[in-house]
Amino acid sequence: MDNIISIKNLKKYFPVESKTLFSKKRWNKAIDDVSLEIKKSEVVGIVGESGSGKTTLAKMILGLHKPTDGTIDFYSNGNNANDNKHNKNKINLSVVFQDPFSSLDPRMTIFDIVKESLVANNNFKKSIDYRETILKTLNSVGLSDEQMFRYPHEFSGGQRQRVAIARAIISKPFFIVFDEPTSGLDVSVQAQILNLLKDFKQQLEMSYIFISHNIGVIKYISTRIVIMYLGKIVEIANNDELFNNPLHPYTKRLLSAVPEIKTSKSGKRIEGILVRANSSIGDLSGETGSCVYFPYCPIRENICLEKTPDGFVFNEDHEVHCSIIGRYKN
Amino acid sequence: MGNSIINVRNLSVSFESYLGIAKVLDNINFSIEKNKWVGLAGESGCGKTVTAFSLLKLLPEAAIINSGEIIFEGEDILKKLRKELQNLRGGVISIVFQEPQSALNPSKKIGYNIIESIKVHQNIKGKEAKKIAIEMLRKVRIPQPEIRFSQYPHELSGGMQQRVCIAIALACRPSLLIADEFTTSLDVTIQQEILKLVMDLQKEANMSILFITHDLALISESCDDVIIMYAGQIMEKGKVNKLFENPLHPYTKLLLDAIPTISSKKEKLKSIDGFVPSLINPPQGCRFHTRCVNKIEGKCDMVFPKVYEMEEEHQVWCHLF
Amino acid sequence: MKETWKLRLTELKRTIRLVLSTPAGIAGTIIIIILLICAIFAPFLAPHDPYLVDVPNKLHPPNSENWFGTDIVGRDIFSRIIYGTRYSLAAGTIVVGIGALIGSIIGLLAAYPGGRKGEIIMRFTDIFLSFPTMLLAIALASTLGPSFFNSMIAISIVYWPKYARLIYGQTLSIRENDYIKFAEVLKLNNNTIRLRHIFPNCSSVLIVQSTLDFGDAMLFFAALSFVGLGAQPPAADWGAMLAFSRKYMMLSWWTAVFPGIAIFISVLAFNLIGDSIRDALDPRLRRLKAFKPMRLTWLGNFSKLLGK
Repeated sequence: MDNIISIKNLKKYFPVESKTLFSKKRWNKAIDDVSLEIKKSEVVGIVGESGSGKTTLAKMILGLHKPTDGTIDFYSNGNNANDNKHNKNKINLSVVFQDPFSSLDPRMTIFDIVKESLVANNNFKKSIDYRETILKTLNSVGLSDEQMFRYPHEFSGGQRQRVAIARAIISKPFFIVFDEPTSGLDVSVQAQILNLLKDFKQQLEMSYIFISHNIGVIKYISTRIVIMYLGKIVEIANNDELFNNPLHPYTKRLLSAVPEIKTSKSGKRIEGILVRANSSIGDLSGETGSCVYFPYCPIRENICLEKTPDGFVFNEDHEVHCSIIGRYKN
Repeated sequence: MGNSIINVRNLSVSFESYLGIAKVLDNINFSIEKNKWVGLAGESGCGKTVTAFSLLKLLPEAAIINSGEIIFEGEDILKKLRKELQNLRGGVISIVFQEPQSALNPSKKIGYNIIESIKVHQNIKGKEAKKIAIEMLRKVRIPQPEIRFSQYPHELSGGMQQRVCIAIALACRPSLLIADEFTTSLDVTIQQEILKLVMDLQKEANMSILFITHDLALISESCDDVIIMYAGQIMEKGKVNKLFENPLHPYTKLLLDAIPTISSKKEKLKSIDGFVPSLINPPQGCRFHTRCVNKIEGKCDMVFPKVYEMEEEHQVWCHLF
Repeated sequence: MKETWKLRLTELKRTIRLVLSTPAGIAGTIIIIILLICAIFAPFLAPHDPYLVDVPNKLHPPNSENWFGTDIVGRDIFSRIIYGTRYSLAAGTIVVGIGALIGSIIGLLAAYPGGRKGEIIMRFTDIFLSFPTMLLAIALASTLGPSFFNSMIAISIVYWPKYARLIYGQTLSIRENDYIKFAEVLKLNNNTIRLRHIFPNCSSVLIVQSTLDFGDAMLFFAALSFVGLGAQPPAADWGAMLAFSRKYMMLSWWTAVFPGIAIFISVLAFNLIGDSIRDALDPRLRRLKAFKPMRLTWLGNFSKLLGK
């Protein structure tokens, strides 16, 4: 089996503080019935706006939140890594966070920061080579030997992200989750980091889960793209397929909203339509088991109010969660 | 140009810091014409926010204005006194910031935030002011403005809060609106809506806008003119369609190549080697020379290039021309 | 790792340099050094035996023989003041040491990973904080029986909740940082995270608070001794000396004034140095132009020496 992560019907609900002691318990449905299979050596780009649940999804894959319902299974070499007879529940994961300023411990040198990651996962236990390995890894992300024993505050945002990447790859993880790693960086620095990541992926044959709200970045780095909206997946497709043939109305809306530099050479823009809602968002969706995009959808019909759409798979693994579009499958 | 409402000439600003004097702006020259959108682009640390704040003379105490003048309505803003500036700020030149959460007073209702501005600049009080405030809320397309008037900022979403900030900025019908990265913290779909809103409002109000952002694509979609800054110097300036069609300065070209786009396929993003130089001892001459592939020894590192005007309304400062 | 120690040393040198660049820091340091010298070398510095009773010599005003005069039983006050530094410094160290230790442990346990258990621990701490400190200390000390050792216990018990609160607050904000989340992803256990990542980041706040509290603790201890619950006679402790001198203060001012000044100067020294350390360790002040080191000639050179 090629899959390394299998997410089935995942739900994560956070309790919302009730206004009085007696009002009904309300839930923030950060993730509401999400299913996704991730294969070896692919880069899955997860796109969504605020409230889409993409960061919560990342945290759940990393084990930082426990699911309210549903499962996340990891498979290494076809075996379920959660089985106790195997690696004692230790799956080697890594993450690169968004904020380069809070992701490194200010009281540790970058050598120590990277070392901690190496030792925690590989049981190196004072083996002589770890210094060599750490040096090599730091060099491969573009940092020099002299910089090894400096503190994070002496580095710029871009350099800190490199340290975070070094820290993530040194333990040769199963896969790496990138949570908006370039959002706080300048465009030129972002380009450097993205190129670095692309190179690593090829050299080290790693799988990435790449989360971002920047669709240009996602297009550059992903092999497969997942679009999320208010806790649900609305569309999944391979990179080229999604941009050539976006199906879900929200995807079209999202792609049409991305600003582009207009020159005579630029391609045709994707058109997306927005329907202005009469009520505020979230009033109709979710509670009554309807489609989450109903308030803004230009092609909505009654069925969308009654039924949460299933995932319909079109050619080339192009999955869309829309009851109206699903009709055209066949 | 007789049509310009604000003219910045030879502006140089330094900041005093514990580590030395940072030469933040070096001889900045530009003008904003009536009813035009001017985009001020550059990466972090290039001085675009300092430029904007200079227009309002809102610089910190540690700032020294080394030279230059900012001519607005025949007078130099930099020479004005506090009282005159108070009338200017918010009344004639308004500003919208990046984070609406920190721009709005969280302990006061939305209505209060808007009325405060109206009271100070137009000397209108009470019911009259409230009417104007609600009208502004309606103009920025906030549904049910009467109800929103009495709500607190935290009850509104980010996009709505930003609309309120725009309402406050426009309440006194300024001639110039400075938008400092005002869509950066918003979702991309909300960003599109807000941008469309401001475009409509601008046409209606005959207002000029100085749009500060690092996102060149946004400038391409909204602005008439664009100014590219790097490390406190202006590298290239011109009409948006001309500049993006035919970027001249090496920095502009590299910047455009570094942006991942969705309409064209890029195999590898061009990245710029090196780092932004420290402004305390900035490189002499053209400050980009330390990272420029086309650097000419003896020229680029000694003296700042003279302007080259490639056809009308497209100027570049580079020794290659 | 050798390199990490070198770095820590450079940091230490820098902090010392910053502290010694202000008049407050210099004054505080000098006084504390004097106190330490008195405490360690008391037998060599004191001209007389502090416990030697010499009744015919009682209540002599300051003279060439007894620089600070003698007390009601003829003991040399100057020598007693010098020996008194031992009690005061010991009291400060023990109280702050134990209080900070217990408080930090409890604060760390309560704040990370937080949740129900943490809340319960903090409510328990709040109960302690709601007692008026002096009364609680007196009550505890008298229950345990008046002695130096028991007074230490009593004051430490009064002190730890403050540290628990302090470390709790710090940990709550540190906890939100991504490097803690990374440690969780690495599946490190809670204690490792607390000791390796959270506690070191609380260290600067802890140092500042401890130094400031040192003076406060000394004062507290002097107060307990004054009411007879701390160091017991014939101990050469400043608080005890004050208590002893109450009846004769009016006529023999030297029996009260000198111990009083000693307490005052010691507490002041720790407050000054505490302030200095706080300013030196504050990351924001480091960059402000306002914090320009003052130019003092020979002391400035001394601090430059350390800077090398």
